[in-house]
Amino acid sequence: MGKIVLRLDRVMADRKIGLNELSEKVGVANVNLSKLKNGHVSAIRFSTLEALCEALHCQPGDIIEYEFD
Amino acid sequence: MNANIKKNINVIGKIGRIIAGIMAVCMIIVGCVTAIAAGYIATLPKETVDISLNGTADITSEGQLFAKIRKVLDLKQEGDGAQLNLAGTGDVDVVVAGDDNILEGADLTETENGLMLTVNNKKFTVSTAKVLYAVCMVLAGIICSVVVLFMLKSLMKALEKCDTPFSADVIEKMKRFGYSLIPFAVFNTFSDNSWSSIFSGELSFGFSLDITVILGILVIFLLVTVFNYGAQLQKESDETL
Repeated sequence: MGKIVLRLDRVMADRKIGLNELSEKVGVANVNLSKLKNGHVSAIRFSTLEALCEALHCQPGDIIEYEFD
Repeated sequence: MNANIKKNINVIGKIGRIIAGIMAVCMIIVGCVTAIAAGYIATLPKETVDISLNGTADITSEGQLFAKIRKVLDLKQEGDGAQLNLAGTGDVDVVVAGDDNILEGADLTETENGLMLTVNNKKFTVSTAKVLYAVCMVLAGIICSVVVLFMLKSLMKALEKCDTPFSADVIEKMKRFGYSLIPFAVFNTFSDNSWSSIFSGELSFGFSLDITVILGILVIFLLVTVFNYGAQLQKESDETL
């Protein structure tokens, strides 16, 4: 079975935005953003996703992907 | 988690840890004194302590009762009092006081054939071995209590340091506390009869369930289950951003 993977690092690299700057924009601690970036979370709230999409000018699908086996 | 709630839990943990610590130290001191006493008693010769108590029963009547007894049991008058030799009881004598109103050391019951006197000659004896046994029982109780208090102290310490009570550490300490109560409950169950046997002159083994401790253990294990579920929810919450 496949799995959901987070592509935040890729989107951040595309937007040339750092962890601290994004942390300030989104209002999420950079420790938690780091967890998101490295895929060390099992769930994400809609509010967090909305804030990320807002800050990075992207769609949820750009951040979250389903990876097939 | 709300900072205030966390702070309250930590404060409760700190107070609990201090109280449990003080109680544990007190119990250890009492335990040491008891152990020294047990050691000292063990070195004493067997005949050092030998107390024997005879139980007596006083029965009073309006005067008519003992007149009937005389009739039934053929009392022999001896001076001011009355000496009664009971058939079947051998060497036991029951003395009826001169005023005819007090009968010492006997129980009176009414039967089909008339009145019956039963001599209540229960003996209470205390010897060195029994005192040593009593002290050892106290020591065992203290050891059980100290273990329980140390487990409680470690649980309180975990609560004092924790960010959330639904953590693996708190649950583990709670579980250990629950397990430490089991020997305490078992000891309480069997010690009651042992205590009574010390003074009755006979060794008796039985049990009387200490329902409070048993209920306490059940509640703690129920809480462990609830906290386990809480920890699972906490983990999910922590992993959600």
